[in-house]
Amino acid sequence: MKRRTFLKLSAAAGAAAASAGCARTYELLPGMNPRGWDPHAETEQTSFCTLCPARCGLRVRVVDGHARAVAGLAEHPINRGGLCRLGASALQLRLHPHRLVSPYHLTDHKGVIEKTTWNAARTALVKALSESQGRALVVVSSLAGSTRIDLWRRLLGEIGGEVVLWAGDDMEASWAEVARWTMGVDSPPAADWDRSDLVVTVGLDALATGPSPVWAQHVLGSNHGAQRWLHVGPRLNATAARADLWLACRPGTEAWVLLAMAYVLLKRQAHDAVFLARHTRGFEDLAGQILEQLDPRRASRITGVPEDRLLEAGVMLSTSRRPVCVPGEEALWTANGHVAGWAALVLNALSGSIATPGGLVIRPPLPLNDLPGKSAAAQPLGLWLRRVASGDAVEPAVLILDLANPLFTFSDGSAVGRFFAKASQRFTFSLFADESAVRCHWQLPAAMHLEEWGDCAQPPGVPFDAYLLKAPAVQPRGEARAVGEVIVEAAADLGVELPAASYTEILGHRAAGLAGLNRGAMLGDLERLEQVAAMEERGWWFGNSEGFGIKKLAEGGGWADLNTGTPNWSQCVGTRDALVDLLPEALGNAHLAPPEEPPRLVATPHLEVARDPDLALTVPWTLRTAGLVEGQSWHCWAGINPVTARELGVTDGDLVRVRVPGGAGEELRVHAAVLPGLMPGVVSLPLGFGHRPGPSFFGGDDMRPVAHLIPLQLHGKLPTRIVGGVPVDLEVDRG
Amino acid sequence: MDRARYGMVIDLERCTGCGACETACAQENNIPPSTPEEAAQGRTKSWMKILVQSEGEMPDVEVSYLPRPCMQCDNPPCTRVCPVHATYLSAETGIVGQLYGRCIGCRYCANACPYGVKYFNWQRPQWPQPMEEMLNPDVAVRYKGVIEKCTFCHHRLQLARDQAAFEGRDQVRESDYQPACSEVCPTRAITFGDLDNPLHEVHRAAQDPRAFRLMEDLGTQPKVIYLRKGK
Amino acid sequence: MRIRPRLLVAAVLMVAVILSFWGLRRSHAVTQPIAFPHAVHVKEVGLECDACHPGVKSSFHAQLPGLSVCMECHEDKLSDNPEEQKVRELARLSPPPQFRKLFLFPNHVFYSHRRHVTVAKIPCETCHGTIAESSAPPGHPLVHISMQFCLDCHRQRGVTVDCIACHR
Repeated sequence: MKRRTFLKLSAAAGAAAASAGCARTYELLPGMNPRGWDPHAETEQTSFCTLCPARCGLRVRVVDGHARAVAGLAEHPINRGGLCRLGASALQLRLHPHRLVSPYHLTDHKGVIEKTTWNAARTALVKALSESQGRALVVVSSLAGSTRIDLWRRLLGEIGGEVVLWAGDDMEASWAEVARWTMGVDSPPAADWDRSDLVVTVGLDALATGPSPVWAQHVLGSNHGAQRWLHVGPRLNATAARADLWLACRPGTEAWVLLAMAYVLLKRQAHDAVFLARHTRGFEDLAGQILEQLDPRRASRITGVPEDRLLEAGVMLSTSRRPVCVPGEEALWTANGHVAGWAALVLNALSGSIATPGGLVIRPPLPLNDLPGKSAAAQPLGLWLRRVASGDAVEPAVLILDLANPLFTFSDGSAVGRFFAKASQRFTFSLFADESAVRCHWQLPAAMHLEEWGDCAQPPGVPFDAYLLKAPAVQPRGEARAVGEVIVEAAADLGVELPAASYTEILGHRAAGLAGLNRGAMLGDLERLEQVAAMEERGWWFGNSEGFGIKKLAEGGGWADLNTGTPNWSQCVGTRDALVDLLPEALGNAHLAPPEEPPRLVATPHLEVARDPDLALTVPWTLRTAGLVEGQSWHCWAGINPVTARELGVTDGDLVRVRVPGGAGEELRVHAAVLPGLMPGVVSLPLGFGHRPGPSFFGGDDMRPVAHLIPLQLHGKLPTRIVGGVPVDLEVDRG
Repeated sequence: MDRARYGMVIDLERCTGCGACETACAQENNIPPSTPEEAAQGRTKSWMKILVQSEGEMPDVEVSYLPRPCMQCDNPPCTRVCPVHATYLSAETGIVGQLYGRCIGCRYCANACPYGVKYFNWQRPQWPQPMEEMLNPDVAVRYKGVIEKCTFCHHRLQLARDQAAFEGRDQVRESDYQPACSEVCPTRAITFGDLDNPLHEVHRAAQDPRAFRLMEDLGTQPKVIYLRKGK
Repeated sequence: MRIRPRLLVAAVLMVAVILSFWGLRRSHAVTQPIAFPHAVHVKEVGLECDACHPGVKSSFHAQLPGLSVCMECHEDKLSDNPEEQKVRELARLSPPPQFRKLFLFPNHVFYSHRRHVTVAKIPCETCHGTIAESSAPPGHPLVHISMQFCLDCHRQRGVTVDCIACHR
């Protein structure tokens, strides 16, 4: 063949191929049947989020039975249409490839897991509980919802056993404990930030991980110009970044920053003498101690905050009409956590900001209808462990976890591991095969928040009364079930009497107790609940797709002003004489014994929005945008200040080893992140990394800062997570 | 429908850097998740991205957050260099459109954009099963070899116009068309609307004395206006 | 006669190209589970479009009927046509087979049926051709819908030809 022929043939063949290839088929939406069709029936369901205690309102766009979008609910009093990064990615949680969608049974011989059925699980659960002879323990997450928790309490109250209320490692334990010491109340007070003119956050990243971050953001946004924010803590977190004043102090010394501010307040006679005389005990002694021993100069040495900043903060406090001070985990999870919590309370008391608008508020429980009969009390895990240690409680034979992962998150993993191993029957209701779940004999798939009925009374982050009730927006994925239904079935099998036969009816029964209040709001497709349908006539607002609107609220004589007004003092304080005890016995002299010599390097913990420590969330988008101050990172990091980094010979990105000198606990190998917004001499460790729920889509070969690093220490009354203020060693890993 | 010039005003005093806008945008617009390998190559797609800047040393460190969508320039450098009219400035809406069907993947526009808001699909976008169930049916799923960028969620404008026409209205109201980012922002830092319509909030906000645009001296005339931090 | 090799090759190539196009077109033809005759149902029975396509006037998608819609009438035997018997058999399956979409836009196109029918009041034949008179489902749309087709009409009526009005 001649060359010309060859060329002509090639050209012709090429032209033919090109023209055939021109029939381009475009790809359709993945997952769609290419020649099928969908009716595109679209509805909008309302719901609320349970990924943090805030309980923001949601709108879920459901198309042909699939949830396609989650957005904020504009009329919801907590989030007003906004959402946080975590809440906005709810669908990723629902559709996570490693979500548990079938029940599994771990047969003890050789650790073989096999798929099982809900019937088999129910039989096993009922058998185990009926034979437990009072040695059953339920660890239920506070995010599970009020009625679900109460149903466990009722069940265990009747058959004998204990209930632990799991709040992600007792993060509020110190603050709750302080509230108990000083005010004689059981729950930590809420703060009425919206009406405060100075918000003092102590180790609390209110805008990112606080008890109600979206609500705090709303407060910040809408009070712009009329309100000042002051943050105390070692780390430039989201709240510190927006604060009018940031007092950067060494971890574990927050209490003395606050006491220095109190000093200025007292010196300037700006304290609320009337309030203190009428409602507190111990003011004279406390004032004497502060003025004699805790002046700003000394505080500056202890805390590392320049003296002029402390004075500026004190003046800010003195010139505020209604300041409020709220502590958070970065201050509470330290060796001096209780002192920090107490100092926060003292600031509120000195300013007269307790049980007033703009101050701390105790909300009395809502008059929901009871579950009649014996119910077990709910307690924090730390308290239960202490009771076991003192012989007051027994280790369980039957262990049930409900959305809790204490093996991973609790600071003393080994203490948890011990009682875990001793329980011969272990059940878990969870979303993932997480660290605690894989060690349970029965791993049962729980429905997530968009897939089940649920309720919540008095979400902790907001100062107003709220009761939320939601209906499912979509079907549970796979074989997941609403845990409330399972509890009701087990109760029926065990002969425990409940006010109604099904979980939804029980929810309706409880909510109906609120009808007489003539105010409130509900969410979800609720007409199905007969008991609550009648409430619409009594002024309740139904935030469902048909009937919501502020107009309806007003028409029904409903509740438009969501602030509680002036709380009733006698409901707020349960101590003797209804006086706030400013120098409780349990505190001892801890406040007069500050740490004077800072170690060379100390650790400080923090939560990250994108990583819930318990839920094993490797949520793709939130993960990708995580750590705004620290920069993008998929892997755990140890943050250090540039000056400290230079001293240690560390550059950004180096692999480093972090360890507690001379202590138990393993070594942490992580990447160093050089962060200008960190005190020198402080190592900042984010919590929530290192989950391994199966082969994770995005790696996850990380270390867990807490469990690997810090041994538990019993301090004062309660074992608390001690991460802040613990001395550490850090060096570059050259191995 | 009337002409409009859609723009955005972002108040940096209100932005807390929470990142809800980034996540909501990614959910709304079917943006595929990235992997650590892609991030290492700088290939993460963030139509809306929060830029973080920290200044100073302890104890005087300041951090600022800047949410950065596509600037939707009135004089866009990207449209000038596109050889196939796959990106163009829509006279009717002011939005710089991106047409996946026309894009040949030459990446001239990505090069030309001074803000770096043009993202190229180096790989076929993938979601792990069964996450495809959460894809938004109103937004195209892009494929390998095309450029994509923030569209001011103009699919929502299409739906809003359709709804308006169906109801016999000839105007799209301000609240009918809001992109995902402005809708989700918990502090209301992002305001969106027709810059030329005096009834829309952006019109007034754009004239705030704190207003500035990014890299104004380049002459791109961005329609995303920032309000400086500081009261 | 001696056939030149070049001519032979060219002829073979041409035939190959034609065959491949024809084959492609055949493989893209849409087949339906039932040979549904529009003519009978529209002309004789007098059904309106939205009897079976509920979204015609009110939704973006005109939508297709499931076999349960057919069964509303064909539960009873209405004729001797074996296709009708097939309806009853197929409707019993779980899940029952579906009618397939004839018009298929790429997912980066936004099209609203209600806008064109209810608002613009375009007659059905403009885009659907003589489907009402067909006695069997066609394999391809009777009117070839291309972007040019849409643009021509848009220009004629003076409505938007902005790309992002329809592309997303």
